[in-house]
Order: sequence, then structure tokens, then C-alpha cells
Amino acid sequence: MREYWVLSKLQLSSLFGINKILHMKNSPDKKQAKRSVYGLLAMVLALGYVSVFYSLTLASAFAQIGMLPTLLGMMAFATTMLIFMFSVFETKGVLFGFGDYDIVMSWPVGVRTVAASRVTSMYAYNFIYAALLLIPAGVIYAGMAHPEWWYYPLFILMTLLIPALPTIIGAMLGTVLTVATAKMKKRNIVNILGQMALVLAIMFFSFRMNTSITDPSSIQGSANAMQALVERAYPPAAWFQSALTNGSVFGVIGMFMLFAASISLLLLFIGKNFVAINSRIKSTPTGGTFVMRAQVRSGKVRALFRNELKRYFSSSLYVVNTAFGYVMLLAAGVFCLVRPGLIAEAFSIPELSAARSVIPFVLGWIVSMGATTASAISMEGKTLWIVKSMPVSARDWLTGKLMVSLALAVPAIFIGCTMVAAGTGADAMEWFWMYVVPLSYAVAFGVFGLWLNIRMPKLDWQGEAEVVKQSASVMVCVFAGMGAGAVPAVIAGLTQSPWVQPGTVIVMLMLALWMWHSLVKSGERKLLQLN
Amino acid sequence: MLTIEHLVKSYGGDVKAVDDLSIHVCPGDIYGFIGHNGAGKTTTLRAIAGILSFDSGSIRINGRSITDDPIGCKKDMAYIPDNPDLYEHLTGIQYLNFVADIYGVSGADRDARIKRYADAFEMTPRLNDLIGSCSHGMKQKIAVISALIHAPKLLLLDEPFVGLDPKASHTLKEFMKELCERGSAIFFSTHVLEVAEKLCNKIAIIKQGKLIAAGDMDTVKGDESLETLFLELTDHA
Repeated sequence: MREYWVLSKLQLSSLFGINKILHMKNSPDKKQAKRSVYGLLAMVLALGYVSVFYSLTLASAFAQIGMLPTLLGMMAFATTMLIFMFSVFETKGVLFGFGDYDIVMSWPVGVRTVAASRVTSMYAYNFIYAALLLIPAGVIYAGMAHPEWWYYPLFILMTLLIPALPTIIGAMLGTVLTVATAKMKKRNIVNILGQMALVLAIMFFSFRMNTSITDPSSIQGSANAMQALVERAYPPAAWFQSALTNGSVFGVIGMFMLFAASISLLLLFIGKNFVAINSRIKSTPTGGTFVMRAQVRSGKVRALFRNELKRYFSSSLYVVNTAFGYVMLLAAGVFCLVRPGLIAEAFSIPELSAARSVIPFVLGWIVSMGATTASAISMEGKTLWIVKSMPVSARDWLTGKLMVSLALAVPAIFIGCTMVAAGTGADAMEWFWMYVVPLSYAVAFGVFGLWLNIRMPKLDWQGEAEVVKQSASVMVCVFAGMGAGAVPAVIAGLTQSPWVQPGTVIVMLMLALWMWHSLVKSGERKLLQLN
Repeated sequence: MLTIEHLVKSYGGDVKAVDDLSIHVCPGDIYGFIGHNGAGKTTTLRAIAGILSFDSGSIRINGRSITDDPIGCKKDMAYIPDNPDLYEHLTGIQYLNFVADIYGVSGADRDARIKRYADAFEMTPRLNDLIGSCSHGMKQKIAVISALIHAPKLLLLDEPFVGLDPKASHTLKEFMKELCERGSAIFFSTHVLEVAEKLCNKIAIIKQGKLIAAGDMDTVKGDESLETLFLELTDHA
């Protein structure tokens, strides 16, 4: 048990680099690390705010029809889906194949203890997501329903228990995917496709749920359908709800049993296969015997671009987290093409007539999520010395990274936006803005990602998830994209002014130019400061 | 080839990692740099390589300042750190081509050099493997080949023999001598004093960031062995 606490403490102390900041002597490094932590905290607060807004909207709707308790079941279900999805992605890196595996395994500590400490680490990450979604819902529920005193301690307990099952199912699925593909030559492609399919399935499921609740014709019917869906699709969410709202002993016992069974099963499974799985992950297949032939020569920027592109596609986590925006864009395009009647019908509703002018900004927001640059510098990690020691200017280095982001964005925009424009029956001007607005977002957020990442780098990572999913620059970039999409969309929707689109494009490009100029000007100095 | 004047570097606080260090490396020199762990060797090498900023002093490579013209300086040199963290997503040959592209090595030169160095280090058949699947020693060999691929005028090596098998160590020493015979210079850190004594024509000893001895090997060590001198100086200086 002592070893378990020591190992868990070691991993938890590295969460968000807190221990590093506490013991850092170098003041510029400390300042940089603090900036990242403040950025993360700001984003947690901002996400918390969104969560509060979402819960409040749901709570008001449910309260009107006397179904306020459904809020807790709904949010427990949403939390479960989110944790499940993240657990699949985090399996490789947090649970297996982590950077300090060799040294940890060389210590006189049992395999199960090491596995338990890794599960704790994963649980800690997942608990943050659970807290972000459930605490606002719980507080809002308490404010509106005025429950008895036992609600509060029980709520804390239930929130601690809720990540158990999605963590184990996600970890199991992630393990299967990782192990099954470990020996494949094209394992990254298979992993990427598998994870994309999973996210799309979850989104499709969530979309169907949201469609039913936002149907204005019958809120009562939708709410009942949702309650039934939560109970049917994921009974533990209903147990969570009944335990907190009715004091159901069955719900409390159910959650406890589920927690104990899930964690025991996960520890049993992982403890038994921990070394075998890690060995399989770490043993990369070798290439064929190399025979020397004439090598192809290329220019400096092209070489940097090619290297960056290879780095990008070498990480399924990196691809899934960034290219997902483009997959959504293509999916939206296909939907618009396949169901043009539904789109036309929606636009014929007077309340939605303004929605046409909003489309380019929604597309822009989706494109902003695809910026690979927000983590591109951090992804260099321990290999940063290579580019720093080479005769490469910061401008060339950053150009290579920006080119990857644009190389992914531009084709996706042309294909996706063409389909959206065709499916929505856009006129010539609308076609034009549906290309130009998202393209300006691609450029602006490509540069913005670099601008952020060089200021909030995370180079001492042990697993890619720390950079791609949990780093400050990524969270700030994603959140800024939401804002950059929402603000002009609201203005365009309210004013119907034809100047919002060109105005937004100009602002985006001006910002991109300013940030690029700043990057190039201070790039050498900032690159030298990166350690 | 390399002139360091009054170099000072601190990592915050009062302690200086490198304190008023001055060294002059000429073409043809194999210059060894020795000292205890934490004495300031890696900090000095990283500052010369243009990877680390420093507080004061100057570093000039082939007459150019690393502060004012980092790209020009880096074109003339190659650096291998103590731990060969290379791009694990690339195969060995892809990494070597990447380095050759960055340094603008011509097609004919790169083919000839890759073949020569990879054969000598017995790495040719393994160049199609991902670097991520290579052992520490193999990564070190790839790092060495990548450093030699553009025939640098100044080669900076931080503990280059760590992880290399005896044959590869011997091969590296031969290439180091050959490079210097062609007019290049090598500045490298090592803890293996026997290697430094046999290989280097000049030596510098650093203790707690300060240079305590530097110059021609024979003049610095006199009749003593390098090990004896090192222990005397670092224990009592």
C-alpha cells in the first residue's frame, strides 16, 4: 500500500506541472510554466462557465415540466460518454506505453501496484471532467430543488464514483485497439480510423438525444423520452439520479458495487497483462533490410514540412484530436447533400431564416478546432535540440508547422464547404463566403496556435495526451475558436448585415498577419528560450 | 575555429553554471573537456551549439558570433547531445535525409557519406527501421552519422562514447581523427580520461563552472597521467 501511495503521489505531483513550478529556480522558465497553469485554470473556469450555462438551460426546461431530477441523470450520462471517449484515447500514454515505464518497472514494486497507480492517474484526469460537468449541475439542482442535508455529501461521493465504469470500458476498448494494432505496419491509420468511428458514433448518439430535447413541439414528451433513454441506455446514470433525488438505497448500493467491480476488474485485467501489453506496445516492427540507393534531395522548408507531417500522422491521438473538426465538416457536408429537403424546411421556419448568414461562421468555428499548431511546438518534446542546433530559422521552422495545419484544412474546406453550400442551396455570394470565411479561420488559427504554443509550451511530457488534450495552449485555442465563431455569428444573425462576413475575414487576416509578424520577429529569441 | 571569451551562464539564483570561461579551439584540434558531473560541461556545449542562451561573454565560430549570426554558425557545426533523442517517427534513412536537406548536402555527397558512415558503423541494413525501435547505441550511431553527413568544420560532442560498442567507439575515434586531419575541429566532453588522454591534443578541465586548466595535453598534464592530474586539480583547486 505504501508503494502505491508513493507511486500515485509521484504521478499526481506531475499533473499540470505543479511540482515543477514549485521547485523551479530559473525565473523565465518558472514564469513560462506559471503562464501555462494560469491559462489552464482560465480555460477550466471558462469551460465551467459553459457547463453552468448548459445545466441552467436544461434545468429551466426540466423544471417547467416538473422533471428537474432528469437534469442529474442527463448530466451523469453526458459525463459518462465524455469520460468513456477520453479513456479510449488516454489508454496509450497514461495507462500503457508511458515514458517512465522502464524506470518504474525496475523498482521493487509489484506489477499490480504500478498498474493501480496508473489507473489512479487516469481516474484523476477523468475526475476533472466529471467535476466540470457534474458540479454545476449538482449545485443548480440544489439551488432549485432545495434537497435535504444528506444530498450534499452524497453528491460528492457519487461524483467520485461516476467515472469508474466509463474509465474501465474505455480503457478496455483502448487496450484492445492498442494491442490489436501494435504489430501492424499501418497501425496508426487503423487506430485513427477506429477512434474517429468511435467519436462519430458517440456524436451521432448525442445528436439524436439533443434533437429530441430541443423539439419545441413537445417538451414534455421529449423529456419523458430522454428520461427513458437515460434509464435504458445507461442505468447507472439513473441510479445516480435516484440516489440523489429520492435517496434510493438501491441507487447508492448500485453505484458502490459498480465502482468496486469496475476498479477490481480493471486492476485484475491490467495487473495480469501489464508487462505483456507494454512489451507489445514498445516492440515496434522493424522495416525491411535497407539497400543503399540514390537519395532524393529537397529544400529546407519542404524537409521541415515533410518531417512535421510524418510526426503528425505518427500519433493517432494527435490526428483524432485535431482532424476531428474536418471530419465533422465533411459529415455536415454529406448531411446537407443527402438531406437537402430537411435543410430547406428548416430554413423556411421564420425563426431560422437568419441562420443562413451564420453558416460560414459555424464552418469557421469547426475549422478552428482543426489547428494542429496549438500543440505542434510542444510535440517536439525532447527532440527540440535537433532543430535548435540546426541552421534553421524560427521562420522556416514555424512555416513547416503552419503548412501542415493548412495542408489539412484547405482540402477539407473545399470539399466540406462545397457540399454544405450545394446542400443548403446557397447563392453565389453565400458560396463565396462559405469558402473565404473558413479559409481565413484556418490561417488565423494556424498562426494563433503557434503564437500560443510558443508562449505556453509543454515540452517535458511523458505521454502525448498531456500535450494534445490537456495543455493550456490547446485549450485556449479551442476556446478562442468557439468565441471567434460565436461572436460574428450572433452579430450576423441579429443584424443580417452583409458586412459581417468581409469584416470578420479582414479581422482574422489582420490578426494572423500581426501574430505572424510577432512570431517571426521574436521567434529566434523565443525558440532559444524553449527548454 | 571556436573562441569562447568570458562565458557566464546561471540558471537563476547566485550559483553560476559557467563562470568566466574562455577557451580557444583551433582547426585540427581534438579538444577534450572534462569535469565532474554538474561542473558545467553540457551547459557550455549547449551554449556553443546555440541551443542555450547565456548571460555574458562571447562565442565565435569560424569568426562569427553565435548570438549575432546563429544560422551562419550552425551551418559550420554539428552537435550531438549526451542523450540521442532523435525523431522516433522517422526511419534512420529518413532522418539522415532530413538532416542532409537542412544542411543542403548535395545528392552525390549524401549518398557517398551515408553509405560510408553507415557501413562503417554497421547500420546500413537497419536504416529502414523506425528510430523509435532502435536501441540506445543504434540511435547514437545514427546521431553520429547525421553529425558527419555535412562534413562540419566544428563538431561538438557531449559524451559521444556512451552507449557505443567497442568497435563503434573505435570507428568514431578514427572518424574524429580523419575529420581533424582535414582541418575541422572537435570539442567534446567525456568522463573516460584514458580516451581523452590518447585522442586529444588539447584538454580543458572545468570545476564548478570555472576553468581550472586548459591547453596542450602535454603541457597541462606534464609527466603525470591525466587521471592523476584531474583528481589533484578537482580535489584541491
